[in-house]
Parts: sequence; structure tokens; C-alpha cells
Amino acid sequence: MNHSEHKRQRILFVDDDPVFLGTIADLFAAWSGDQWHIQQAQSADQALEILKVSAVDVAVLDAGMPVLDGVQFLKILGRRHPEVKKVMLTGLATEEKRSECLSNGAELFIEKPRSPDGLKAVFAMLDELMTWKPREGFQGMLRKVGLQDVIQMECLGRNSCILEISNPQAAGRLYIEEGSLIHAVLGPVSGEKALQKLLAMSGGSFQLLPFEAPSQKTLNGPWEFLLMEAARVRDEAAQSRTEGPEPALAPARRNTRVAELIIASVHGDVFHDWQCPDLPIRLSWLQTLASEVSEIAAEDFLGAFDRLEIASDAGRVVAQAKSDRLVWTRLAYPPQHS
Amino acid sequence: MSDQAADPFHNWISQCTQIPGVLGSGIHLPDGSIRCQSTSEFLSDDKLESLIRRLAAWEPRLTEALKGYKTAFWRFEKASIRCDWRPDGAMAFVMLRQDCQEASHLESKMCAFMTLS
Repeated sequence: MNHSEHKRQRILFVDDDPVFLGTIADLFAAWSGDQWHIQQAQSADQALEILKVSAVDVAVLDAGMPVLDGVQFLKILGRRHPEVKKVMLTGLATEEKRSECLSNGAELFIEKPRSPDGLKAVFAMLDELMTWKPREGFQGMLRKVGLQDVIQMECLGRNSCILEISNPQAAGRLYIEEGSLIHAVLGPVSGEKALQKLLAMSGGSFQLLPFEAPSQKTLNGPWEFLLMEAARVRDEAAQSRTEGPEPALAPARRNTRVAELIIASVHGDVFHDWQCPDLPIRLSWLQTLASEVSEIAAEDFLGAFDRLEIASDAGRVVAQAKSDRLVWTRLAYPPQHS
Repeated sequence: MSDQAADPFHNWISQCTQIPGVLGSGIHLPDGSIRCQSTSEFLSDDKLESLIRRLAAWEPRLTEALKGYKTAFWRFEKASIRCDWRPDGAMAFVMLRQDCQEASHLESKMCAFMTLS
């Protein structure tokens, strides 16, 4: 399937912090290759006005908004817009709050990201939620929640448990200890390979069991990366079965990997830096871009500068020069298989 | 006029400007010469030429940012500019209204640019 045929996902972020809204909207729009139509509201009132006139697939609510807090707003949304998937973001995740949000119709309960890795994890979870369809045959223990969502929730909640997954062909176990994926086993296979196979199972059932220490630990690293890698392997396998070559400029490629990220002030103070090989050169480049586009954008017919995207066969750079920040993201595509 | 009509670059620019939503189109050749055409009343041919020259001058910085780049998309609030480079250094420039839905037409035009001579 050609990516241009994908339906554009509509997402509404509701948060009283305009800087957080601006940052998340810019980054996520860029990372989704403009496949997300992102709207922002700084209050519940504004969000309801938007929902009156615009269709929205997913609403992401800040749990700690003033006046009408996120949980109250979640209940109102559930009554007025049951078709909208709802996600709660919170600065302080507690078990009580998590239960309250999930029991009031939230599909996901996520801690507010405080780092580039956190932003990437939230993006991946929302992307998964928007493309998620119930898997036939799975006996979900939580309403509308899939296997990957359960794993994410257990990890976010820093829980310890065993997730037993089975279908008529195979059965396996995933061990989660204090929010970390520590061991996966499926028949004779263990480790990341087993995790990938478990997440690629197309039907069956799963159940949560009390935690018991496994005989060995075969998984290492942050759970977000393990899940993203498993999703990447699964998607790559599906893509190689179904897709032809990409068009020349293909911002909407799935499986892209964030290879480099910088968020800095316009004066060059670095807020976040992830895997950047030469920070001073990148910052100087971004500042040159900011200066150039401020002159170009002085022409009324163009309006304010949004971003520069540079594409090659191997990846894409997205550079943003806003009035309050500079952002550099380099995305790498997986190798093309012939 | 007849010279222009026989010029494949001129023909290519002319065809681009017929795509709905295209505000201007042009080509920057390796010798520094520019051919362009605006369809917007807010954008004179002189302004368009100056903008094309300015963005073509970004070529070394684009290489610095991403080796092997082929395309750059400059996105502004009201319009987007797409620049595609050929191995010989020629650059195609197309400016589109932000709400333009004619990306597929543009894609084929950009492919055609790669073999123009």
C-alpha cells in the first residue's frame, strides 16, 4: 500500500502549557511526516469548541489542568464524544490516578515526557494507538486495550508481572519486573526474537500472572526501545510483503528511526541533545537557517516559516527555527530490501 | 516566443505553473542562470528569481546537513517550496499554496525534470 493512501490522523492536544503544546505539535507533526493533523487547545472550553466543528480521532488530555481538570474533562468527553479515543498525560503518575483514568474511558495513561526519549516513546504509543485495530480472537482483559498497550501500561506503572500469551500454534511468556522487560520466551526461542514473535502473533489470548523471577534474563534496555524495535521488525516484514518502492519524497514512511535530536534556544543554549555527533556545527547551521528564513519570511506571501525538510534515500532532516527555539531531527530509514 | 516554446526548460516551467495551487516555478542551472515564471499577483518574476537564487545558494548547507540529499521542502505558513536537485547541479523550484492537493502531479513533473536537457 502506498503511504499517500493512508488516512490523515486527527489528534487534539489539550494542555494549559502553550510551550509544551507548541513543542509537541511541531515535533509530532514532523515525525509523522504531516500524516497527523494536530490541533491544540489550552483549556477544556477551547477543546470542546474544536470538537464541535472538527472530527478528531484521538484527544490527549493533561490530567492537571486548572479549573476543569483532565479527569473531569475525560468524563465529559466520554459522554459527548464517545467515538474519540482518549489519552491522559500526567506529570505525576500514581496507581490511583491511573485506575481512575482507565476506568473513565482513557485508552492510555502516560507520564508526561521530560526528555527526547520520553517524547519519542509518547509519539510511538500515540502512533500505535491511532493505527491500532482490535486483533481478532484476542481475549482482552481491558476494554479496547491490545497486547502492546497492556505491556506499555504495566511498564509505565512500574509493575511486576508475567504476561502469558498463547494461540493455537504457540505459547509464550513475557516477564516484567518493576516496569522493565527482563525476559521473553516462546517455545525454544528467547530474548528479543521471542518478544518480536510474541508481539507479531495475530490472534490468541493473554493473561496477567503474578510475578515470579525467571530462570534467566534475556532482555536488556529501555522497554520503549524493545517495543519499538519489535514493532519495526513486524512492520518491516509486513512492508516487504505488501509494498512497492516509495515515492521520491516520502515523509510518511513508517519504521523511521529518530537518529539525532537537538532542541535549543535561539541563542544556542541546548535544552536536549540526543546522539548529535557535532553539536556546535549543528547549532551554527540552525542559527544560519533562522537568520535566512526570517529574511525570506518577511515577504508577506509566504507567511511565517515552519520548517525545512531535507530528504535523501537514506533518511530525512527536519529543521525548525521558531521564535523561541531551534529544533533539529534526523530520521533514518531502514535499509531497503530488494 | 518560438525560441521559448522550443526550450524544454521553459516548457517544463510552463507545465508546472498550470498545476492548480502552484504559485511559481523555476529552474536554476549550473551556470547560475535562472528561468522562472510566477502565477501569483503577489510575486513578481524578479522576486521569484531572487528567491530561487537564494535557495539555490543553500546547496552546500544542505549537503552539510544530509549527504546524498535530493529534495528540500521549505514550509511556510501560507506556501511551501520544493527544490529538487539533479546530479549535474541543476535545481528545480516549485512554490505551492499550503492547501495545494496536487502532490501527485508535482511528483511526475519532478521526475520529468531529472531527464530534461
